[in-house]
Amino acid sequence: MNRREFLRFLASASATTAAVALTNPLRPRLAFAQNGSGKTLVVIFQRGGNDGLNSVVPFGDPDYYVLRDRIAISPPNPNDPTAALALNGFGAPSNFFGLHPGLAALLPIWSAGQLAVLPATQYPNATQSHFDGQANIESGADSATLDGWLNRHLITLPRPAALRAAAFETELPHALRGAVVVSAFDDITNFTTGLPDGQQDALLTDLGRLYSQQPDNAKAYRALVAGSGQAVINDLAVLSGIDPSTYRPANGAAYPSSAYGTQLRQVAQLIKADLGLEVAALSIEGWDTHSSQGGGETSGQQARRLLDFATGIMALWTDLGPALMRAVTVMTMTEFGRTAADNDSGGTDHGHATAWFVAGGSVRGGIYGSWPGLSAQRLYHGRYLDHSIDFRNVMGDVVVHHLGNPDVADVLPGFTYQPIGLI
Amino acid sequence: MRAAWGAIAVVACLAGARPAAGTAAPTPASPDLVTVQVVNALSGQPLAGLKVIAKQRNGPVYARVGSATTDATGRAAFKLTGVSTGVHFAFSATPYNGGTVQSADVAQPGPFRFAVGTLPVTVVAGGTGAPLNTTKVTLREQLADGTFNTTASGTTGANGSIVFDPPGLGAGRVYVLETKSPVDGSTKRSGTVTAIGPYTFTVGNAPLNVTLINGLSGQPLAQVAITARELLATGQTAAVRGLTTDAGGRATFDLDGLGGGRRYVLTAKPYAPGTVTSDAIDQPGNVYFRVGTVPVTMFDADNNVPLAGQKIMAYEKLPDGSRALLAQGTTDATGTVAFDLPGVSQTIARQQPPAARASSRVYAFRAGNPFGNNKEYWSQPVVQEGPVTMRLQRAVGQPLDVTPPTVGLSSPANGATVSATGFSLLGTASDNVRLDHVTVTASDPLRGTSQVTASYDTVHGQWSAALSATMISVNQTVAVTVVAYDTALNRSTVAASFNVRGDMTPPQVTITRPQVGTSAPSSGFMVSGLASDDIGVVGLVATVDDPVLGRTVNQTLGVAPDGRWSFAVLSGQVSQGQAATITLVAQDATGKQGRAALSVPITGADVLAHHVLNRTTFGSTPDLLAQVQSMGVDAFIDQQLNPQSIDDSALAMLLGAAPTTTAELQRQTLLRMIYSRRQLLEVLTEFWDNHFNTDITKDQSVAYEFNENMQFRQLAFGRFRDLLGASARSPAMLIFLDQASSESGTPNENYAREVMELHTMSVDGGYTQTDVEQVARAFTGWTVHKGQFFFDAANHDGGQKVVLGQTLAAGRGIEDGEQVLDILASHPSTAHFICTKLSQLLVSDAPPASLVNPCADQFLATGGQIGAVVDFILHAPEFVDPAAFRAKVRTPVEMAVFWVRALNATSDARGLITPLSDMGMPLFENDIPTGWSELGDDWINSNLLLQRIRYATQLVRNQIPGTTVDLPSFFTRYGKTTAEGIAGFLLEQLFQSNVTPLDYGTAMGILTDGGTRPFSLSQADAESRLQQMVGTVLGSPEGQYQ
Repeated sequence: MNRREFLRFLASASATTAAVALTNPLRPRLAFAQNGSGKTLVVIFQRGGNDGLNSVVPFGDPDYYVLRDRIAISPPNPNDPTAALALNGFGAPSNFFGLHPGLAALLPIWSAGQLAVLPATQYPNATQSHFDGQANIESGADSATLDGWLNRHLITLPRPAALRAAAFETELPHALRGAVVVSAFDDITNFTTGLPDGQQDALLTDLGRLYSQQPDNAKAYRALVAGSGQAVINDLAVLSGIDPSTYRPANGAAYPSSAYGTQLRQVAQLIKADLGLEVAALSIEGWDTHSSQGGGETSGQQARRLLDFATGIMALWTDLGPALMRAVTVMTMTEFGRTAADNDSGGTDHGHATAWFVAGGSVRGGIYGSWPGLSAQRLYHGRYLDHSIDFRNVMGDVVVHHLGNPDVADVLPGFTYQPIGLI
Repeated sequence: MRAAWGAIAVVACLAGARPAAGTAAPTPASPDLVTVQVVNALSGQPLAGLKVIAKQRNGPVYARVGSATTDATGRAAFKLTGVSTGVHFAFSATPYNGGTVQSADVAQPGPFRFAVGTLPVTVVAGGTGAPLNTTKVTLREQLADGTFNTTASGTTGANGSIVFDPPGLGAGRVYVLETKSPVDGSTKRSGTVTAIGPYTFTVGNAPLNVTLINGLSGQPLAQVAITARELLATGQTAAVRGLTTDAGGRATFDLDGLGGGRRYVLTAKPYAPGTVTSDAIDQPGNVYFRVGTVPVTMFDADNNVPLAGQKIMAYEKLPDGSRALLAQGTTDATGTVAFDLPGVSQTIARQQPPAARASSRVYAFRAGNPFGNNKEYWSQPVVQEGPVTMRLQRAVGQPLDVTPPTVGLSSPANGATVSATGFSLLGTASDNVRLDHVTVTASDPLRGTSQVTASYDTVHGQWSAALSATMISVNQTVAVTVVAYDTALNRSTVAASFNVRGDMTPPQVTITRPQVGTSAPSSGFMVSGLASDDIGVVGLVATVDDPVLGRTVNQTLGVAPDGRWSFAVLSGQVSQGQAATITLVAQDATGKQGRAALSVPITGADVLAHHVLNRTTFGSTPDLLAQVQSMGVDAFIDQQLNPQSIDDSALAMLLGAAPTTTAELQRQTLLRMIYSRRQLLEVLTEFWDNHFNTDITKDQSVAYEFNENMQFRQLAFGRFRDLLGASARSPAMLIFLDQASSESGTPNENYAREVMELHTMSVDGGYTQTDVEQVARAFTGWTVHKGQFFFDAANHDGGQKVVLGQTLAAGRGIEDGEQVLDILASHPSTAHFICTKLSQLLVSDAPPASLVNPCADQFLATGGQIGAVVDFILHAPEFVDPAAFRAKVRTPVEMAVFWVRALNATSDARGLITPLSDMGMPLFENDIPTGWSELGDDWINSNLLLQRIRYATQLVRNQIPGTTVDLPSFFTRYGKTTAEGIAGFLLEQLFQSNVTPLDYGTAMGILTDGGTRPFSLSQADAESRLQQMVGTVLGSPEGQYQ
């Protein structure tokens, strides 16, 4: 038995006992069948509250330039590298919206008709707390639930897969928390015991038994710890054949060198490895631009983050190529937008509606949602861009039409889903 | 002189006449008549028909004067003129084949008896005893000076017979006989002959028939010179004979004393490496002189071409690891040189091929720099005849393993008493390359020497062997020699001796813990004691019987060399309110038994000390646990609530100067967590630093973060308002939440929001967006200048504000912000929020309202005195609720520090920074304003769990730089040296009575290889087994809780 076979043996033994131990009939890790749904959803959370107004710039709305006297992005101008990049065609209002120049990498996706842009997305009575805002959105609800929307998708539509869902974060994001134990990898390269084979085999054999003990569910966290321990063993087996250091992206795709870029690159590798990866969640941070946000210039704080954000998505889109992208959808979200006006620190404060993106081979490109406007009377609470799209409908479209899960009512509790039609 | 001349004349005259004796009876009347009778000296028989010559003496010279032939009576008559007047004569004759004999002088007339044949010699061949006919024999007199004079010689007749008449034989003169060896032509000499009488001259020796052959092919080697050399007592050799082999490779030697104690060797130069010296030969007969038995062929492995014309050196590998050059040769066209290796090559054999023979000598060949790259290329070690092939990989040298293995004897200890019924030896052996085998030799004064081959466990580097009763005798001392060999045949030896004793007494067992008359808690406890026996305890079984549960423990225990044993009674194995019976039965090798029993009253669970340490410290150490159990938890809590009362000077020694780098700041903070005796202070300092989180990667100032941290430490038990104020004025916070850049016109709201949401009231604490905007205005002007807090009045919005319903009058300055802090610090929501977070820290993640609400009352009643609030929580009934025990997951920093503390590791803490980052907790580098979560589910997922497991494996294997864990010493320090004791003690320390049978069984299984090998700290792999066991225990589910 070689290393990989050993790990698989261990994982299958562990999963078999674990299924009994957790008494969770929905637990998906029973076999190494690698079919899954054949679809992949990549969720990118921009943590900190990205300023949607300076991401999808309403350069056609004159109020924008009144409110943003310090950090506005100028209207499209081929000779000005700091100017917005117009989003025309695909039913978009003509010469109204433009991308921040840092998002230039998204333009080819737009031109291919595979980029849905939702400039004013949020939910009623949204919180302006980062913590609550992220928790609410990742709950798929207007107030946080104990488990996340993606975990509920996994529960309600069980499918066997070697690695059905994974978070590329140190902490498991709320969206993936819940009854199904989901794997987390900060970086697959780092996902190792660091032990030589023989010692690792001995350790995992023992730990496999110990983590398969019936947890005392009267005590906090016992089931989570047991399930996570089994996931460690399962994932070491699944990933034993995955070596990020030898992965070569296709089609000349160039991922950014950031942790986020590395994680997207590993997502592509896992998709190509055909492990049944259905949900991948990533985070990209640094959006809480209370001061020195910057405008269209490349040195701006937000501009640098947008460049990383967009070139990462573009690299994934390029690397996977048209054939694989037919089954892949990328959606991006952030907990809130920012004040319509900039503050005297050259930044913006916590706001309301903001821009989300959905990209993929089966996505219908275009601008979604009406434009609420930025005049004083149209501003939400007089300070913020209002929303015209409830984020839960974006999730609903993705859950129903991409992941093929009809049970949207369970995924989005207490909400009546109304299709947007972006997929 | 005249007379003499006259006599000659007479005899000359007579000589011409017919001798009288031959024709007629002598005439007595003749005055000079002498009748000689020749007789055999031994038999007295007359010799007839023998020609006798008369000689006249003239000084030393005898001149012939006549001759006659003896008659039938052996007589002959001579007229010897002048014999009657003083002239002397003598007779001579050649009666036998030993040459001419001359008689004594004849000095008077009359009869003269001439006795001959005094030394009849029979010459026989030394090897066969067969008579040597027609062999020339020389008689030589041995003179006083040791030289020899030839006296006579002759050729043997039938039956090897020759008869000599040595002059003066039997009268003190000494003779020897010489002849040529019929075997090899060498001169052979008899022993000395001094007496008259028959003598058998045994010539030479049995032949040594040598056939020189190639020892492997059997082909004879013709025309090769062979020299026989005698092996002298001095160890030197002396050449005695050289011969050249014939076409059949044969040469025959006659070697003196061969077969009679003298020993010889043969030398020849049949092959390139030069002279081959044979094994010693001590018996004649047919032998094969076998040469060329170790042909060495050298190839270039890269192209498989023989390396011709290259030197090969043969070395003997000596036991001390050194090499002795034996010979060298140059390869022929096939790349071969034929060597012969003393002790390995059987150069002398009576049959071809010879029977195989073991050699203790070891050789190796070295190529003489064939590629000119000065790399060493050695062959494998050679211990037997046969071809050796060296395939040299040009790029890769092949060093010679000269490192001997290590071998140790673990038990019994040298000088120990062992049982006459037989005993087992255990020890360690390892090698830098590979150990081959271990032999154990026992020398008993009565039984002699016995040798056994030990069984060797390659995985663990451990050998074992049993000496049976037939190898040893009672009341004797048996000497044992253990020899370990590696595959390169290097060896090492360890010796010991043991006193063999008969079995007189049954084993003795005592239970030392629990002590008689004490009780034990139902949550589990350790049982320990001693077991001993005159010939050794071979089995110790512990049972625990509970009146309700029945027999819950039935376990075989290990006994340490010093007799100590211990085991853990786990939670669930005894019932509260009952008396458990603990029984130990020890057995010796002859089946004698000893037992001890103890009835222990079982009280309720006793986990309070563990719980208090889990909550108020960065984890217990064995010593601290014992201290708290001894002083009582209340006294400990009181002490920790008054940190100034605790001497922490040892910590100050460790810290050094104020940090100037992030890594040093992290390291010093971790050092405090590990080593401060003011543990609760450190717990709360980390709590406040995290509550008021700032990110050093944003403010870029070690000083800001360090000063902030030191302020939190100073204020940790003080008023909340002071903590809040310290945070609000901290440059780190002012920069992190953008307050420093907030402008009075349109202030940014970052700090204003978070100070309410995260630091005081909490997100649902009752403030509105308007309050956020008002607070943002109130704090305008709060900024950083020259590295210090600075109130910039010019940038302050002096207008009126309303915060949470309270009006801040217009026209004020810094008072606005201070009043906001006053309002927030005393707000009931703040009291509730801080109490919730402190209760989550100190009790459980979901603290009940019954705790939080009165805690908030306490907060408000004391004006936010944190010491009083913490005191309240630690003395609340919810704190000691069993539901809170181990209800929390250790955060990464709590876990990382706890493990260092729990294992008594020595750490400079620098190596903890990277694993903490991998585990999600890079201290001072958290960019989330919320700070790190105190809740368990934020710290448990597959990635973080794997990072914890990895940290555990690294820590126990001493792979964390600057951190050292010495597990053997750790367990020894607490008297735990058996598997049961170690596993029970560790699990008790780490899992705190929450030990399942599988946890215990897993730990035991690692220590004992699934029960297949006893565990002993003296085993070679004891430390690695401990590391594996502790690493697994730390990484297991129960290792995550506190």
